[in-house]
Parts: sequence; C-alpha cells; structure tokens
Amino acid sequence: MTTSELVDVLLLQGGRNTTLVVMGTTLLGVAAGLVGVFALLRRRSLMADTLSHAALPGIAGAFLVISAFGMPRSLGVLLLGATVAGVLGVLAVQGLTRYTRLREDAAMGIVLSVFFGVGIVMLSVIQNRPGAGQAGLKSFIYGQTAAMSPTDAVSIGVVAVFCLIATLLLQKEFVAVCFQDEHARSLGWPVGVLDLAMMALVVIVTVVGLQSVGVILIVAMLIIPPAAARLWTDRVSAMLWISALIGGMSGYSGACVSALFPRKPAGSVIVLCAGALFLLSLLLAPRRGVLGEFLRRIAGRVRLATDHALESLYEREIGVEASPPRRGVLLERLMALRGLVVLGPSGPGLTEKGRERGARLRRNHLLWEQYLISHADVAPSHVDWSVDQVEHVLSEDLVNQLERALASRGVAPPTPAEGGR
Amino acid sequence: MRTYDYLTDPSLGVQFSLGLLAAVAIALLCGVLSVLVVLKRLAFIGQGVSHAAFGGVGLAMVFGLASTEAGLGQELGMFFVVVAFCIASALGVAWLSREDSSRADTAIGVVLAGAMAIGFLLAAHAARRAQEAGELPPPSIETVLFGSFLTLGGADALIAWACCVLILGVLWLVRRPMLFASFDEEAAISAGLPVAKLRLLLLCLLAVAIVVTMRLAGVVLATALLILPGAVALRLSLRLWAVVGLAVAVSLVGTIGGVVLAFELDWQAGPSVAVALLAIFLVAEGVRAIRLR
Repeated sequence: MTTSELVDVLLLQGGRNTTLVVMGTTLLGVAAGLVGVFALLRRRSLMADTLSHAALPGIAGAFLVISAFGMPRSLGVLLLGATVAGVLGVLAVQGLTRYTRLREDAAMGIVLSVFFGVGIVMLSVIQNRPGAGQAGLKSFIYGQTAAMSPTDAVSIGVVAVFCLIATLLLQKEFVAVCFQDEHARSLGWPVGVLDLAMMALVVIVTVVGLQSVGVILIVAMLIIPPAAARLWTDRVSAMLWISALIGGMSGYSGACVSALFPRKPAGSVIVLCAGALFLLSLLLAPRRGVLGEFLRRIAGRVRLATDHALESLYEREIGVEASPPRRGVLLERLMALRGLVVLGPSGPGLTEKGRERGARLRRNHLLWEQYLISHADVAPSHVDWSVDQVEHVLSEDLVNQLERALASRGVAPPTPAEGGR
Repeated sequence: MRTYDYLTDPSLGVQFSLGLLAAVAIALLCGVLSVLVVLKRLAFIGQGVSHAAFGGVGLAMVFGLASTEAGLGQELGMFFVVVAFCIASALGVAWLSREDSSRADTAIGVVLAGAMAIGFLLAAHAARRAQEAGELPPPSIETVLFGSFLTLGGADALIAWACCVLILGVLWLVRRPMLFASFDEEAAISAGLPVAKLRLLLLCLLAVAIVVTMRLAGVVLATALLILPGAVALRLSLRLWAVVGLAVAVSLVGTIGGVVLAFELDWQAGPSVAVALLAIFLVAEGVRAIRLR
C-alpha cells in the first residue's frame, strides 16, 4: 500500500467499487447510530444482540434452500432468512418469559446460544458439502466488507438511508414513546405501532449490517455510538446527531481499512473505532467524563481548603480563639492570586475581598450553629463538627430562610464579629 | 455406536477419556453456578464476560501461549491471561455501571463488543505472524468461539478439576452470606453484609468458570451451560439443595449427552451441548405442564 492509495481510498477515489462499499458502510453506521439511540433509551440493546445471533441459522437455512433449488445466491434471500430467524428468536424470548417463569435475561441467553449453536452446526454441514458458493457465508459471522459486491453495497446504502429518514421523521413520536409511553397513549397516539416501528428499524439495521460487521459484532454498532453520545449530552436531539456522527465515522474507517487490507476483519475495525471514540468520550465528556469529574473534585477540594483558611484567618483577625490556619504554600499562593490575601513575612493577611468572604463564612457557621441548637436540639458541645461540613454549602436562599427561622423564635441572628464556639 | 468405538479406540481413547473427565468437571461447576446466575440475574454479564474471554485468547495467541500443541505450562499461561482479561472486563462493567446499575446492559454491550473486536484482530495478527515465521498456527478462531471436544486434553482436565474444586470450595465457604444476598439483597445490606463485594467475588468466580467452560463449549455457547441447568432446576423445585442437586444432574446429563451427540452426528461439541440442554429444558417444561393439568 502506498500513501497515494491510502489517500485515494480515504477521499473515496479508490475506484467505483471501493467507493460504493465505503459509502454503504458509512451510511449503515449513521443509520445504526440513529436507530441505536432509541434502542438504548428503550433498553432494547440486548434484544438486538439476541436478534443478531439468532439470525445465523436463518442465513444458513436460506443458503440451503437456495442451493437445493439451484438458484443463484443473492444477498436478499439470505437476509430474508436472517430476518425470519431473528424475529423467531425474539418471539421465542417473549414466549419463554410468558409461559415459563424465566426472567428475560435468562430467556435471551438461552435463545441466543441455542439458535447460534444450531447456526454453527448448519454452517459446518454446508461447508462439508461439495459445491461452490459457500465461501462468503463466513463473512456473516465475522464481517467482511471486502466480500461485498457493489450491488450489495448499494442496496445496503439504500436501506440505511431509508432507516435514517424514517428515524428522523418519527423522532418526536419515538422520543415520546421512550420517555412517556403512558402519556403518549392517553393523547391517542398509536404507541403499539410506534414501538413496533422502532423494533422493526432495529431489525432492519441489524440484518443489513450482518454482512459487513458480522452477527457477533453488529450489536456494537447499535450500542456503542449511542452510549458514547449519552456521555456528552442529556438532550435527545443532540444525542442523535452525535451518535450518528460516531456511527458514521466508525463505519467509514472500518470500510477504508478493509479496502486497504482485505484480510483484516472489517467488523472488528469498525467496532474498535467506535470503542476508541467511546473511550475518548468517557475520558473527555464535560459532565460525565472521567477527566471532568476529576477536575471538579479537585476544584471542590481547593474551594473547601480556601474557605477554611479564610475563615480561620478572619477569626484570628477579630481575636476569636480558633484553630490555627492550616498552612500550605500552594494554597496561599492561589489565594493571593485571586486577590483574597496578601502574602507577608508573617504569613498571609486578608484583603478587603478576603475579609468579606471570611466574615460571611463565619456568619454562616454561627447561623447554622444557632439553628441546630435552637431548632434541632443539638447539644452545644456537639454542634461544631457537623457545622464545619455544612457552612460551605449554604446558599443565599438558605441563609435567608435560616434568618427567618431564628427570628421567629426570637433569636437574634449572629454577627460575624461576635465571639462563639 | 460411534461413541463406544471412539472411546475404546487404542490411539484416541486416552485423549477422549481425558476430555470427558474435563467435561465432567465443567458440568459440575456450571451446574452449581447456573443456579446463582439465574437467581442473581447474571445471565448477561456472564455473556459479556465470556465474549470478553475471546479478547483474552487473542492476547494469549499474540504472546505465543496458544499454539495447537501446547504443553501444560503454556496452557496455564494462557489460562491466567484469559482469566485476568475476563476479570478486568467484569470489573470494567461494574465500574461503568457504578452510578446506575440499570444501565449495566449498555456497559456490557460496550465491553463485550470491544473485547471481541480486539480478539478478532489479535487472532488474525497472530495467525499471520505464525504463518510467516513458519511456526505451528494458533488454534482457529472457530475453535475458540464454538469450542471443541477434540482439543481437550490432560492439561484441560487438570485445570478444569482444579478450578472446580477451588470455586466450589470458595462458594461453600461463603454460602450463607451469598444465599442471603441472593434471595433478599435489601435485607442482606441492612444486616451489614458486604453485598457489593460478594457480587464482585461471584463475578470473578464466574469469570474463571467461563474460561474453563470455553474450552468445551466456546465463547458464545458457554452461556447455555451457565443458564439452562439452573433454569430447569428452578422450574422443578424451590428447595435450595434440591435445586443445586437437580442443576448439577441436568448439567452432567446435558454435557455428556451433548458430547455423545457430537460423536454420533459429527457435530461440534458446543452446539451439541447447547441443544442437549435445551432438549432437557423442553422435556422438563412438558412434564411440568402435564403434571399441573
């Protein structure tokens, strides 16, 4: 492979066939990302897994039927078989949960493994038969975009675009069904039909993706992009776009790699790409990411330490005996930088801004202390410890409420300069 | 009776007997664990962990620990690599779903698919490297995915029995808190039992059991062995020790029946065991339905 070859494939200039395969797989990724969002919200991810595993005997059975009648092999018939078997698998799960006391997860596990096992046996039977045409069947297990014919790619692309448009058109309805199906029903919406449509889209995307990603991994296309998108946002519309983007990028890169290295399993590359994007999201997403959480925790700690230091500096200034301020060069520098203290030879001294904040903290402390003593019957000797935790999180609103509560009992609200403790 | 011919065959009989010995240990182990899997709704995490095992196998292949004619040392090395990978995945799922355990299915999906994908790529890489270096090729992906009775040997029997004794021993030691937590988690928490730790312990034991089971039934079909015996037993009885005994019996009959089925019909062992277990499940359901009428 040369650099120009790489660029050609990446820019969709690598010949008509390659371009079609790459575009088809990318569209599939986008569609799976969109449909997957609703599968995730409706908790159908594992149902999709069962469905795809259960599709294997359908593919093998369809192949056996085709070769028995001597017809040429066509993707359409194989996928029809996959759909029938997949739907049968889902119905079997529902039958098992209804007629036995098995829970859904156990029922899915049973259906998945038995259907898949039967599929494997059928495939091995096919492989032991004389005759050609079975070569491509394995690509349904592991996924191989290189085995795709241009016509297959075009039909996959068309189906993907259909799913994409259907999802976007029905977006509002799907969201309502996912979050408030009771409410949607009371508005007279056909919730059952919409639910079925959602499931049908999952089935279509799964079946169509079988050839490029394989029965074992196709579920990843439905789970990983939405799961990654969920980390970035709480809004469904944004989640849809992010998920579609991640799905599309995964499909695109997987198909490109497959075009460049025909022997690499394309399905794995697609999934790994999605997995890498998921890890990136897990690390970097602002609110739910690991990095963000870490930074927030650090910031919280710094705020707490600053508050403690300011309060004890203030207490020292007004001559109330207090615990000596904890010294820390880094913390003092940081406070000086924010204009809360000035660093002198005898240690930090409060600025006007720092004094104001220290006074407010001390007042909050005393306020809460008095409230606990007068309203919660806490013994004065026990009050200090719990107050130390709470004084930092008192909002202005809460402070006003505390003042009112104390006033109603005729207790004068404390002033910061007052003694105490 | 091909089974009889195979087992008395002078050249293959010993290896087949050893394989059968390993299968018995696997059946024992899975019979007991399947009760807990069904009770504690661990079916999906079990499936996730067993798929993750495939990633571990890929890793072991790259380290050269999984050649087709491995000695006991290599087998052990591979075993530990895969177990480590599985336990890491189980802990990863637990960590990803730490805030909202109902989101565990998404976490399982992500970990499952990611580990599988890594496994495929590493296995392909290892196979190509072995081919270029003119070494023995690592076992085929099919063997790992779907299991194989033919590759079970003395090392597997040894590992399987050691794990069986170890896991059943640990379960015996923690049986009281484990059962309490299985049947009434809320009460167990308020009684001060370390329920979360017990769950993690169970997951680790499950991971080890899966790695052992995988050699017979494969990554995908290990699930069948870890669900169906417990599902059958819990349908037939509600008394604890009866359930465990029944599950072990079902597991043994299903596994050995499956192996015989595989011999007779020339199927792979994993699917045969799954089908045999399903047949027992259906018969049990039928018996129940007739009895209730």
